[in-house]
Amino acid sequence: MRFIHTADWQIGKVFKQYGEKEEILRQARLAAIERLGELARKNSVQHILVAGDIYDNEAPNAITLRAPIERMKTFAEIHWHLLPGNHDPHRPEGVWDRVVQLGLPSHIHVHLTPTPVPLSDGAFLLPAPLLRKSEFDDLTAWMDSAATPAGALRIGLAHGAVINFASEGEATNPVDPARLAKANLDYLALGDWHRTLQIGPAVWYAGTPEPDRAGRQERGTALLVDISGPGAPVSVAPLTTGTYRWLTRTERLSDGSELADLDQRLRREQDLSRLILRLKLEGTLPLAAHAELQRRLVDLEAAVFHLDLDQTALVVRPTEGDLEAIDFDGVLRRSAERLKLMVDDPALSAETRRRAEDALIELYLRVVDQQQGKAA
Amino acid sequence: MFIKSLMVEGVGRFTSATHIDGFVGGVNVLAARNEAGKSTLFRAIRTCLFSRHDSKVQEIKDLGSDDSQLPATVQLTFVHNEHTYVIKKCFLRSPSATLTEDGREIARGKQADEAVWELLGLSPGSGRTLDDGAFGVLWVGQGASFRVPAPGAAASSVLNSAIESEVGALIGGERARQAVEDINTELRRYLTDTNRPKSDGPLHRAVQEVEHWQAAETEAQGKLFALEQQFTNLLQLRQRHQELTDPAATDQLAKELVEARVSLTDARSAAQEIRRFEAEESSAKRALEGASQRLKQLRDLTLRIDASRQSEAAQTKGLPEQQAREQEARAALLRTQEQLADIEKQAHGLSTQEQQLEKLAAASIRAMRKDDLARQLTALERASKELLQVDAQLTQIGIKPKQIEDLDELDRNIATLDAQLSASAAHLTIEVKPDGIGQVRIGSTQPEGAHSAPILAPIKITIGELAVVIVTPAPNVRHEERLSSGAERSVLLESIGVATSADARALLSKRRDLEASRKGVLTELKTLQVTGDPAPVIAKTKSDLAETDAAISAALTDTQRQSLPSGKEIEQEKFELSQKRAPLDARRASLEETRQQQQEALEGAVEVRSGSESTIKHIRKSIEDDTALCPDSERAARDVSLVTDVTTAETAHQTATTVLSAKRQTTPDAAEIERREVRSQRLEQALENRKNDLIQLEREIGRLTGHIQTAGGDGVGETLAAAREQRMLAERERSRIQERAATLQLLRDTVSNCLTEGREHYYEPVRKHLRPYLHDLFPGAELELGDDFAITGIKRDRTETFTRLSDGTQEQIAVLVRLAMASMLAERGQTVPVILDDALVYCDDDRIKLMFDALSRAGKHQQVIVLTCRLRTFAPLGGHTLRVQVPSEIG
Repeated sequence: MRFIHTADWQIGKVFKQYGEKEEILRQARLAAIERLGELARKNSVQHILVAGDIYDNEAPNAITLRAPIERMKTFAEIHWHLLPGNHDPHRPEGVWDRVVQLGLPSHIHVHLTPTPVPLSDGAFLLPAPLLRKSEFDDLTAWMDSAATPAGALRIGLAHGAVINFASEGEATNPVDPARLAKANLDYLALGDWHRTLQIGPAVWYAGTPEPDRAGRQERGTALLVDISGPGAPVSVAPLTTGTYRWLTRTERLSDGSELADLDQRLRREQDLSRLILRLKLEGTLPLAAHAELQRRLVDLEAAVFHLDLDQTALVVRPTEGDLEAIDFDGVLRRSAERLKLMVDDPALSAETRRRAEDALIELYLRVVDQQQGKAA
Repeated sequence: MFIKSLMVEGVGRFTSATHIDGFVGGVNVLAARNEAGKSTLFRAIRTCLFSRHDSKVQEIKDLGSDDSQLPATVQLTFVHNEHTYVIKKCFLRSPSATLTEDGREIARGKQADEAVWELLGLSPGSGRTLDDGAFGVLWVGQGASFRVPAPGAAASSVLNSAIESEVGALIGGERARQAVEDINTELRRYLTDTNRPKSDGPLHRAVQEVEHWQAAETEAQGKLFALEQQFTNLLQLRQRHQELTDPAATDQLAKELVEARVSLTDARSAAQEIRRFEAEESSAKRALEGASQRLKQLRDLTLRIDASRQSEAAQTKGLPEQQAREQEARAALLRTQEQLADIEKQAHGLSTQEQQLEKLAAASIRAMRKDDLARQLTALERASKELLQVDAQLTQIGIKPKQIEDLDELDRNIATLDAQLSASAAHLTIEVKPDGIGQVRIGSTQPEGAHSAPILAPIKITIGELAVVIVTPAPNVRHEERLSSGAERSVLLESIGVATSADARALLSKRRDLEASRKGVLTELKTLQVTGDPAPVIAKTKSDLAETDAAISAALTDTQRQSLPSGKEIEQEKFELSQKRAPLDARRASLEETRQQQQEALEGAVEVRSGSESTIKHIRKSIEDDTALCPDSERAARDVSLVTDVTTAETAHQTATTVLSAKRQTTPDAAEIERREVRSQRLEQALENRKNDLIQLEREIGRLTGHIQTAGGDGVGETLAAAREQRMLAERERSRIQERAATLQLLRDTVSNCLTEGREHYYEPVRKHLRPYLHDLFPGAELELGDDFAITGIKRDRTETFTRLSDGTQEQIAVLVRLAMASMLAERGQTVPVILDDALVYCDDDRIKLMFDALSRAGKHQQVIVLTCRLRTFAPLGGHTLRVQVPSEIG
């Protein structure tokens, strides 16, 4: 038995912070479905199991509702098994009733009740659909007593947080990691955790096929699962499905000498144009280096798909040279020194010091820009 | 530099050569009336020093005299660096310029123009304009004294040099100012002066954006919340629907209803049967009661018959005795009635006699009154006759007392007039001698002896045949009045019908006597009870007399007597009759009483007897009726039959009661039936409610489903997520701009503070020189200076904005600042005269003195030239007075 395990498509997720690029990211999530279909064809897979959160919310608009269905329709030879998750729980007249009312083709299966469903090759799917956003009971418990023919493969499909993982999971929908043994499952396909993760010998989180935020999985993935027979070991291979890479980096700076190296390292990342980079900068920089950093960051932002910059932990420490660049003496120099005193004054609030730092940078930039303008 | 003298010709109103000599160091005052040419002289000095001699600018054209064919010539003599220079320039026509130093010409033409500038340290500049340096600050033209001194570049340079020589340069000041200005420019894009987001600025837009997305998020959140609620409601409704459509529950309910209905039907049937048994028991009871009643009636009847018969016997037995008693009473009554009739007869005879005596007594009384009537008739007839006579006489005498009063009045008037006439009239006195007696007649009188009378009217005196003397009194107005009164009296007497007043009075007296007589007659008549015409009374009296006679006659006839007995006789006869009547009345009363008693006794006997007869009749009728109902022959048989009926009915009733009681033990009571009815109805209602609930539920589910589908179709979840992110983005943008503005404000404030501190330090030399002048007018005050020596305010008790001070104070301060600048320059060897043209026009008397003190203070270091039209104000203030000398004066 071979199938693809995927989850957390989150179709309809909004990306307003990305401005004009929002629609690209939304389309990328739909493209991941097509990629899954292509991978299924390529790997001769008949069944794709989607472990919940097909939609980002349970009230998508009409286009969003239809978009993934239409993508799946183009892969008619593949059976798509969809499970409601905590983002799109099944409730009367909810998103899944709307989907069903669209008139689904026979190869798209929506599993809205905890009932064993025959797949092929004597395998049975045991779905555990979520009927609410938050369940306090383990909805996979029913699998323990779910009757399937003797010798049948039993594949569990659920969406939730494996116990002891709840603090990292998205919802409080517990799933007992021992369910595999308790329910005599051959594989437990899980969704909810946006990272490919093996919980047990045959218990996996597939991760999302297209990441939607930094700090989790970098690339979109799915799992190609092979089970030779009941009780046999499971073979799981990751498949890359995502278009964009979501990279998070934290870099520490001290005097600006590392700027060129940082620039080079970042630029060495693959597919810069499809890189969504969250860059957190820490440490201290002289004013001149800070200005240099800002110039480089502008260039970098143009090079990547999106740059999400966090400089809150980066402190400016003007050097004597910085201050002299403002002026050797006189009113502006005294102003710069006064601001520097504020930056260094521990009696002031962090906000005030931060603002003094920004003012100092602003003064520096204005003076330097003016000088450069004159020089030009 | 110090100006010594000035000569102008063909300049303004000075068409001929005009000199002003005698300039001294210190304060010079040129006081002249308006339009005397002071400002022309001021412009002439400026033009001579700062303009090229061949310039054709309008300012120079304006300098020349109107219609003058001469060039406009200005010659200025001044001392500079201990040399005396004379610069003479001719403008407009045949322009020329010469400069001499200590009497030696050192330049001519263009060189002369520029040599002067070089001497004074002025820069010709790149164009045609000349930066007049300190002169621009210190030479204040007409109307310019109100302006705050704004030094040009050269003047500033001079001033700055002076300052920097004391405190050093203000480094970076300009850059700082520029930086502050740039920051403010950017800040003004964000904020207003009151730190509010500027309308249509980026911050304002960001705030609006946040508000917009907050509202959108709230709206979407509300919709999503409603959707969530609808999901919950729908779930509950579906569960309820499932419960309502559960067939087991429905079957159970239906089964309960059937059982309840059967139970109710059973109970109702049993209740109906009970009612039948109750009816039977009631019927048996009524039958028993009927039998018992009939038996009782029979026995009551027989008892009554027996009692009636006994009563009849007793009544019949007493009846003969009652009848005998009645007969006896009736006979006694008859006897008494006969005795009473006899007594009545005797009494009637006595009464007849008494009536006759009464008639005689009455006739006797009338006979006694007959004489009185006759006398009264006589008196009446006499008085009536007298009255007729008096009335006839009174009719003859018509005089009225008023006429006598009028006559008396006329007499009194005439007497008065006569007395007056007499008093004023001639008096006639005639003494008739005995021989003359009879011969002399005065009027109709024949006087004897002496006769004296006034002549009131013409008097005819006849003396025999000898003479007739007529004496006529003199005319007197009273004569007319007297004659009138006399005539009036004559008329009055005539109307009375007498000749004299005495007659009139006698006539009135007679009338009064007659009236008194009439009154007496009337009084007499009144005593005879006559108040009006006596004739009817007389007639009635006559009638009474006739009637009395008739009555006496009738009485005599009735009593068959010849004459009327006397009163005494009548009384005697009455007494005798009364003696007879008393026993008769006593006897009659006694008999009457007896008769009454006998009558009552008879009535009682009749009543008893008739009562007994009636009772017997009634009893007999009752017996007859009762025996008709129950003949004596059937009495026993009937009694036996009825007793049997009662016994049978008792048995039947007892049986029915027992059966009913037994049935009641097993039949549901009314409360139970009601309970079963209620249960049955409740179950029916429950089924109906269930059906209605189901309909309602399905309708509600349909409605909610529609709503949810609509909301789902609208993509409210997606909308909310988008709105939330947009709101967060907007908030971030707003925060970014706010942070940016705060950063810029901090930078601006920091730079501004540093700039202010530096400027304060830099301007200290200016303040130092200004302070003495300022304190001359405003003790203890300090000026606040801004960029480019701008005066921003004055600090006295408090800081006041310069532009809010009065015009006069602004002008005074502006002049003081110029003096301070001049003083500072003078200390650095830059001695430039201070020229004030028509300045200090708004100074009051006290301030002008203080200002002059300040000018005098300035005059210690340099030349001060004051051009003013305020002759009287400036004259007593001191200073050197300048005079404009025209050619004639010079000569």
